[in-house]
Amino acid sequence: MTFLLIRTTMKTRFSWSCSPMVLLVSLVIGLSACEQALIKPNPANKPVENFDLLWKTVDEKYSYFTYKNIDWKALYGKYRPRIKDDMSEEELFRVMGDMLYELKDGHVNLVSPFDVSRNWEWYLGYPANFNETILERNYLGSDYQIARPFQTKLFNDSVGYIRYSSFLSLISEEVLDRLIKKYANTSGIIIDIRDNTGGAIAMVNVLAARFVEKKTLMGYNRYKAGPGHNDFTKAYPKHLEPKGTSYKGKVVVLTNRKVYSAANEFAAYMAELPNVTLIGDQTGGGGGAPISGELMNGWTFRFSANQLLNPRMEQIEFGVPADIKVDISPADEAAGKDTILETALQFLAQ
Amino acid sequence: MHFLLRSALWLPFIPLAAWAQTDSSHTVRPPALEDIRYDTINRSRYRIRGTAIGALTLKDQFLSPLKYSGMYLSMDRTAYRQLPGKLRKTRLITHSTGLSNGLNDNSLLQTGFEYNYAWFFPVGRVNAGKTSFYAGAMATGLFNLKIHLGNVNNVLSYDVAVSLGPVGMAQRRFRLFRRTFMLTEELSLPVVSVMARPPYAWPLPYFSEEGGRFTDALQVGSWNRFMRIQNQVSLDFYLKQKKRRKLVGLNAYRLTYQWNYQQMNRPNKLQTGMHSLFLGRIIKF
Repeated sequence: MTFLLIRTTMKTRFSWSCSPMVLLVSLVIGLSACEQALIKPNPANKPVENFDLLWKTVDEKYSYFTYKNIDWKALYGKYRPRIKDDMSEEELFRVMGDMLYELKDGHVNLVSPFDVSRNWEWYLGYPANFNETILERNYLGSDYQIARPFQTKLFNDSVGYIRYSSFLSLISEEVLDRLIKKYANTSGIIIDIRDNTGGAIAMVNVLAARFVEKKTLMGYNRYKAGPGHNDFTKAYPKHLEPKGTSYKGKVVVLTNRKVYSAANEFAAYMAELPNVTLIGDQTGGGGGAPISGELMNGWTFRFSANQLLNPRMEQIEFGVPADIKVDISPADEAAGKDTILETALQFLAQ
Repeated sequence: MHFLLRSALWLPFIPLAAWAQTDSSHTVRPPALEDIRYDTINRSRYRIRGTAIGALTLKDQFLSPLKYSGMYLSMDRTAYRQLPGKLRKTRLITHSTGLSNGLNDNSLLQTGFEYNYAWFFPVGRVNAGKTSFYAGAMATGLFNLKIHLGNVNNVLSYDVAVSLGPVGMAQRRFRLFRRTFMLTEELSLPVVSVMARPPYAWPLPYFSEEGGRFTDALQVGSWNRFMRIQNQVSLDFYLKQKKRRKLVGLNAYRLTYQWNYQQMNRPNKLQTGMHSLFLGRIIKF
């Protein structure tokens, strides 16, 4: 309409053909149309498209296919035929969750508004080896200290006990300084991280740095560097240096199968120190840090995208073994006995 | 549909440009940039301050496989300096955006800045001197920080680039409603770039020993790794022309349509498209 008006008004003097400026501006505005072609629209929010996006993202960025000997393409062939356009959300979730379950990884989850898919085989198939009620009622009693985020107690006037239940809880250097000074003259310290399922890796460094005497190689990190299953960066070393007030005596770390992720990394670090002994069960693992993705239907997912290795370049994805393997038997638990803690107390009393 | 709506905003430029052909023999001229060929004495400076609003589309494979789009807001500070036979331009743009994917509740925030430094040289005139063409080189430095609030570990993404490439500019002076206007088209295309993006799938930034050094992320390349089309069509219009016949020293206003497309291919593909309308004031001093 605007064009017509202009042409009518200016018809005596108007000339399109003689304007390089018009051509240039038109060309550039036309060029901007290419953006739509360059940035492809999101796939349709349909079961097949969502399944394919999940499979492809994991295919290109998951870090343990080779280590776990998983044939991801074969799994596509196994699960893809189960995807139908008319299936319900619950059915789609179940198929996708089943596919992810095969990764045998506690860091892999599919999150929907009605459920979270997970593989918790890493601890469910093993003795619990921790009973908080027994610990509180029969060992800590009512006279333990709460120095957040720790629960602490001096056992037998000679052994310091520190319980840290989640690496999600931030540790202040001041609290650590006070704690280490308080237990400086003990015969040993017990750090109880049983049932600690991880959190912030930064807290691993903060806590472990109090127990190293010199700069120490704690392990290596390598990351996915491309879409191929074996495309990794070089292994970057991870050193830890002493910081603040450090503890020079014997240290026992209590572990069970529910020690996972950042807590697993802490156990791996501590296992490298000469004055540290791990007592309890092997940790649950979780050697990779997860990253997130999202699907068109709003569901999110996460999966491991790197590998943490110990100083001998060995994987810790399936856990760190205890130096002294101890289980709490059903009979001990029935008797209200924390066998792992008692073993640690005896070990430090020697 | 979005594109059609966005394009529709710029359609008025076409008839305006066409209407420019109706300019006959008016003698009043603004302090146009086209005068630089002859303006060897007056070392004029122009400053342009203003705000742009528009739409940004982004697909950052480090953060999400999905495309995000939303409103774009920026502050723009441009300075021109006329020197004998050439024109120097510096430009600083700061922006922030809030984006959504239109499919779920996840959101993505982006903030950043861009600095341009360019030299223009006159290369020709047509239409009896009313249309002028310039060519030159432009250096660009940019930094964008993106935050995906729904992610774990891969929450932050960034793109940093310093690039060098040719830039072209065409200007057309015309009369409309007894006022003088200047239509300017500017297009730049970086050829050589040094850039950095987050690692392919690293949850850690380059701040620690185990995350590597920042230099590990640096890449040097051309269009195979970094492509950027930076385009703007500006319409300058001068005020109070009826009252004052002599225009030198007058302030003017600039309305600009900007379209930028940026693509980084490694280690994760990043695509950004931006359309915006800028309105600012030109101050000559």
